[in-house]
Amino acid sequence: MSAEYELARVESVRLLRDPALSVALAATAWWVMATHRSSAHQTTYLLLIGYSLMLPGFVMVVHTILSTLRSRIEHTDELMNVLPVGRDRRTVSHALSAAAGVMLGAATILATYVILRPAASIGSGDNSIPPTIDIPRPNLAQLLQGPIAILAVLAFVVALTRWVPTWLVILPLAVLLLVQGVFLGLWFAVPSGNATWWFPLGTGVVHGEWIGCGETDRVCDLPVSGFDQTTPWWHLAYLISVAVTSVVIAVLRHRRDRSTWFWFVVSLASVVTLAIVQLAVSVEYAPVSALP
Amino acid sequence: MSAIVQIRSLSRTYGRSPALGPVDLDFGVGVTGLLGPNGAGKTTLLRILATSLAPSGGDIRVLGHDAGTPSGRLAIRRQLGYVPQELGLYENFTAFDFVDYVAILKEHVDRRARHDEVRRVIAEVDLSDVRSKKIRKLSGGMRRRVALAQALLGEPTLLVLDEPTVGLDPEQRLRFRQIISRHAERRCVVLSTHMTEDVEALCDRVVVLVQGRVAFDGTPLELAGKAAGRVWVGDRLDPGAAVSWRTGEGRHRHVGDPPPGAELIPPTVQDGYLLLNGGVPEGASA
Repeated sequence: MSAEYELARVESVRLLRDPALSVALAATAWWVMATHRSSAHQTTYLLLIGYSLMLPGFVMVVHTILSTLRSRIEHTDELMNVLPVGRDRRTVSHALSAAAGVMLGAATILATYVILRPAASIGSGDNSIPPTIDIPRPNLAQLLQGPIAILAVLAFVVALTRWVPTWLVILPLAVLLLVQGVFLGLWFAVPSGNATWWFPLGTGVVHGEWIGCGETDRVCDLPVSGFDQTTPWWHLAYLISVAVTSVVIAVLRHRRDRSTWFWFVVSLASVVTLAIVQLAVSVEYAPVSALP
Repeated sequence: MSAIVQIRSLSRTYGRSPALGPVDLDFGVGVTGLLGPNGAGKTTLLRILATSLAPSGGDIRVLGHDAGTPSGRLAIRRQLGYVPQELGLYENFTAFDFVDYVAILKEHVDRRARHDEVRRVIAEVDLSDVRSKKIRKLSGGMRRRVALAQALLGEPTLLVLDEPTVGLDPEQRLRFRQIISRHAERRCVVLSTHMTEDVEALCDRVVVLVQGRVAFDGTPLELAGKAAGRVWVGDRLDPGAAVSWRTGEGRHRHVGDPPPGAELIPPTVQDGYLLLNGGVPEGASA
């Protein structure tokens, strides 16, 4: 086993032993149990497609920032930088330690699934989904979305922290979290474009025809018309390519040899390709008023 | 003495300010002490030696590996133990976990063998009793010993220690000398210090740096010899002395140009260093 894997193992253990993570998991368990008791269909769906990992994921993000910045915060760079396992290899280890988050995420989703026991149809909408629409049980790709999103986000955090090695990394992450947690989640993708698939957690919600609410159609309503269960498979591939690209970008901070540049180009091309594929394959309804 | 470290025309500047050199030095098996006032270039030299800082000019080779190339630096780092001057440790780690973490970064991959090695170096610096304590709860001297423990991992060929005895109590300093002298039997140790008694007790060679240049290179005895005939004691303060202080016996110890009939005493390394350090030019009364 190489030093990178051994270091990743140590970092993983430290992540899993973080008391804040236990608190986050306890809060998640309470959320899941409360949903189970209330039979809230929309929330059940959200929890299963990865939203149950929002709080533990947030703790993992903070932990990963701190562990990636540790040598800087504790003023040990002078020592660490003259050890045989240099910063580039330590970067890989920090990213690999996200595997612990993936496994914990998968276990959390599995536990959520067992507790909520969703039928083929979870139920009808009870909030922003019309009662006439059945909410389907998430397929395997959607169940895996949360854990793989953790992988992508933590790898992204490592890259961001390597390039912005201060607490300022919190700012862009806070914006992303706000968009993901509030706009794309709680209100089921208010921005109706397919580009919502570019964010880690896709709801799979498909919007129906655009109903104009005024002469200029500036005010409108986008009713939900169904669920897209095909794009999530592409989305998983997209998230994995984002994770790989993030690791390569993080490594580029301290190692810029030909091989690293090659992987940067290949992985970035895969991200762009899969981002476009997601737009192409996702179900889209053209607004009536937009038609000629 | 076969040279483990070879330094040729080594120099370093910060902006336009020269900090070191050019210097030519060879270090072999044994303990070499670096003495010098603040800003003399000791830390700069040690940081270059530890591959933490790139020189502005010149060459440095450790066991034949060129520190100027990435592969050479990696080879040097695999043979290096380093205690930097600015002592940063992971406060939330236990002493064991921190040394273990460094051991991984030194490519000790096999877990069982690594843990044995970590326990060995922790025992060597006499920290076995507190190895499970968080570093933030350790005293300054204990933290110094944690830093030394990580440097000893893998019995490195080259040990670079920047002011390693700061914060150690007398007992611990003796223990430190014991550890270092044992390691120096087969390895190269280069340490910087302000404590001339450490040099006297520990080093078989001393290099004095003044304003980035080598002002002296020899044995501690030779450095002390620089002050031969220029150290005396008297019952009262001698205004002609360059440096004077009252000893515990109530007499005054003087360094400089003694007056006729002065009670001369054998000089120490500190006396030689004081004279060499520009404070007391030879043949001049300050």
